[in-house]
Amino acid sequence: MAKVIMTADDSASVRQMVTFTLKQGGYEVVEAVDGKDALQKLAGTKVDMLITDLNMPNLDGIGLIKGARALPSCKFIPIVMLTTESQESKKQEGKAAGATGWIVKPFKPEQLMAVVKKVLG
Amino acid sequence: MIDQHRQAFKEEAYELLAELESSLLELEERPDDQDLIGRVFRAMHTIKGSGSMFGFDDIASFTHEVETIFDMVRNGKLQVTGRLVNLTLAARDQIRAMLDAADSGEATDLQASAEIIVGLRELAGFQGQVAAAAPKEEVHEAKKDQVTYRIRFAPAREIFVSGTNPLTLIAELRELGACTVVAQTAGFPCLEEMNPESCYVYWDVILTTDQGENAIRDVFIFVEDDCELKIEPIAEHNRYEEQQDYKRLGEILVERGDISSEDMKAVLSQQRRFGELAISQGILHEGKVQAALAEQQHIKEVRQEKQVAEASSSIRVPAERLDLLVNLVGEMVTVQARLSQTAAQRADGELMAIAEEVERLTAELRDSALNIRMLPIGSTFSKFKRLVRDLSVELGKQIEMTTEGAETELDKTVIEKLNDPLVHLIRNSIDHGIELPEARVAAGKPERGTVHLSAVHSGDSVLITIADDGAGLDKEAIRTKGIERGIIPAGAELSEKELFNLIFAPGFSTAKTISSVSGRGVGMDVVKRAIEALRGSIDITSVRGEGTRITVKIPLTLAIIESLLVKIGNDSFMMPLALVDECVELTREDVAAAHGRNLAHVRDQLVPYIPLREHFAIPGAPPEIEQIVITQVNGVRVGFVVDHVIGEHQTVIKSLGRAYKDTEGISGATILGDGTVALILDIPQLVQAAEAAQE
Amino acid sequence: MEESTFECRQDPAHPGTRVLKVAGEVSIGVAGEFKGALVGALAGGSEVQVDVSALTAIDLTGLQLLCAAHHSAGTAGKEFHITDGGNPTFRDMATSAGFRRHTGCAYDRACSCIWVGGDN
Repeated sequence: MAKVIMTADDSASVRQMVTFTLKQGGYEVVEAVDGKDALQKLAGTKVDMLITDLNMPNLDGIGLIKGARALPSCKFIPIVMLTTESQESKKQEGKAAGATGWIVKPFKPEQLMAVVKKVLG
Repeated sequence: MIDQHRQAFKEEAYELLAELESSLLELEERPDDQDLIGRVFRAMHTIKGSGSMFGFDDIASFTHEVETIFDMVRNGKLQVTGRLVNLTLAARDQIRAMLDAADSGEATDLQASAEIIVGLRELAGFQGQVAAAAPKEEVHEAKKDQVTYRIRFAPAREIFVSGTNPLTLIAELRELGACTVVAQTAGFPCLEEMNPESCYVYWDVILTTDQGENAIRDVFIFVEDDCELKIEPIAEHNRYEEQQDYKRLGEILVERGDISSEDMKAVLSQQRRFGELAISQGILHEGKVQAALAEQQHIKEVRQEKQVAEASSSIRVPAERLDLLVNLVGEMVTVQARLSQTAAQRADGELMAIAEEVERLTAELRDSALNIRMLPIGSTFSKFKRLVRDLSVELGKQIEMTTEGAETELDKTVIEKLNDPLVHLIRNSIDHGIELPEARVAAGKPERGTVHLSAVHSGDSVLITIADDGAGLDKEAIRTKGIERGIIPAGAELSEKELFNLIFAPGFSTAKTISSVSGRGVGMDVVKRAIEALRGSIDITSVRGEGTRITVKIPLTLAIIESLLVKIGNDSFMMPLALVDECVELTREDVAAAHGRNLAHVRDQLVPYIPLREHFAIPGAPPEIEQIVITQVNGVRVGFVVDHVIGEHQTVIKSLGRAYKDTEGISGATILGDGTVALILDIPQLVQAAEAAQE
Repeated sequence: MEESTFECRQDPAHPGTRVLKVAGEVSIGVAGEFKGALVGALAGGSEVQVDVSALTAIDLTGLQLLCAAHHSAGTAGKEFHITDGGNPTFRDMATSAGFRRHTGCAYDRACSCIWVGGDN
């Protein structure tokens, strides 16, 4: 059974690219447009991994990570955040909130797949 | 596909720019609205982030400048002013122009971009020219040598809470190269006290990779702060180092800090296996020793693989070129011998020094030239596997062939010439040696018989052994057949060895029925002849009911041999040193005392000898005291009488050419230091001929 | 994801032997449950057999628990075995995690280490 990955990003183009890449890699993808949307969907669907942007309206990435870790079904899943180089402090904040790893934007599809493989096996 | 993403980005960007415009206009009216500032920042951030993802690098770098300013505004470091809004609106229009240009291919107005950025920077309070974005330097790391690393990876107890699965990291390590993983479980609490959601295990990993240490660190990039990670290079694999044995167990453990060197010495002072001892004394726990053992094993495997890899990365060269090279080296050796001789005669110190140097270089050159011709015997072995399979099917027997020492190297010519004799010997083992399955079961042996083929270096020779677990030789059957065939007289007292050697006599067969495989009674004598032609020997041992073992001893190379130089009259002869046992004197009195029988007393033993002067009909009288060179062929001692023994000599063998190809008693020739020719004696053949003449 | 089940029963042929049948995916999500099942099995008999032949996945937490259970059994003078029925998934996972070895660990006085060999 294919593993399910959620991508939470307010940028439609990034979501599209992430979704496209993951589907090509054989994963099922659930999209969320911001942190709040993501948390709502997480409560109802079981996902194996979460990829989230940090800057999102309504609920940002840090908030999403904290919220997800509080859900029993997401306690141990890998959570990867998308950051930009200028956000070194955000990286630390995200790790403290429970993120497994990060991907620095801009990234190529191969880089995304490499990280997914690293944390999901 | 990428275009599709670019298109999606553009649509999104136009939307964001439209939103940005209205946000900015609202912001002009409510400059303190944090929510509006946040929206502007996120719009810029998304355009920057997504732009760079889909190749809009100019937009990304330009937007980055604007985003930086709004980050300051967001953090309260900068006030929203009319000028800021104006500049940002201009920036927004500029981004739009850049998006439009991306489709039409028109160049964007770089000057306008630069002016906006300078304006924004002034606002922010930092000056400075806009530097053209430096092209990113791509660092290409040169292909590195393989290095073996020792890695200890101890994840934090609470590693699982961060969503990390250490096993995927271990799996990722495995992808970097040959990897040996040992999980350390010694720190485990008992079940009741174990928190099932904590990580207690840590790993000792030995990894051989050409990717460099950074690639290993990259594996652990997300967990750097949540684990204890030690990476140390322990071995670089270049060809010079490989010769040595790898570190001993104790050394590895001391290096790892698992044991102190004092403790190690204390343990080593007792004569037991280090690992067991250290554990039993409680200095070390077992897992650490296990890891160190794994390290030794790992290095061994990597080296073997490397050897295989090296062998396969070879150059193919026509064999004739190698033969030519070896020939030239042979002549070189001859000339060098002359040089040394001349230098010694002149007693010229300087010349002698040069001659010595040339001698050393020549020896090295000779060794490496001969080395080039060396091939592993393995390819021949694998051909035999097929032979065994086919024959056992044909004969209805179940036979497994095992091999050992396939990597043993032999001169190419020798390997080629060995093929036929070995085929014959293996056929014989299968046909006469291994019994039918029913017979084997009845004898309490496994149904499936084994033929074991092994090769091993022994001095300047290679020993090739063909051992089977078949019925073994039937001494009585051999004796009966020997008598029947008239090879031995009835009632002859023969040692076991002599009896076994009968099967190498021409026209001998003990098989009850004649099969297509062997048993035609030809072959074993041919085998013996072929082996002897390679200056080798053949030996047979057998235990009835348990099996037979045939050992073939072959010199490493045919091109050069160590030999003993002897003289008869003015003629020089060479005798292969490997066959020479000793030299004794033969006086006229001795000859007279033997009454015409060519037998010498050597330490209370009678040794038959062949007077070579007579044998080769060399004119002239022998000296007062002649020399007997006693040789040993297949355990039989035979002497050869010569005038003088000159000494040991390194002999480059030259074939005699077609005209003398069939000359008996001579296997080749060589050129001496002074330019004269010496013939190389074919000792086994001379012995055989003498025995034949006696009968 | 497949559900995991832990079924503990008395071996009818051998009184005192508890057989714990582990099936499905053993992951960190059920680690607490797995630990409970192991503790229960060890408390209920002098010999415990963990049957992993129907196991479809096991993660690090599962491997750790098996090892700790073996340790505890040894301390309590009880016997602890794993029967994998040749289950390749179980073997592969234990091997790739570096758990399989040639000799037992320091606690393994009876040479019964669950990771050694693996044919029974």
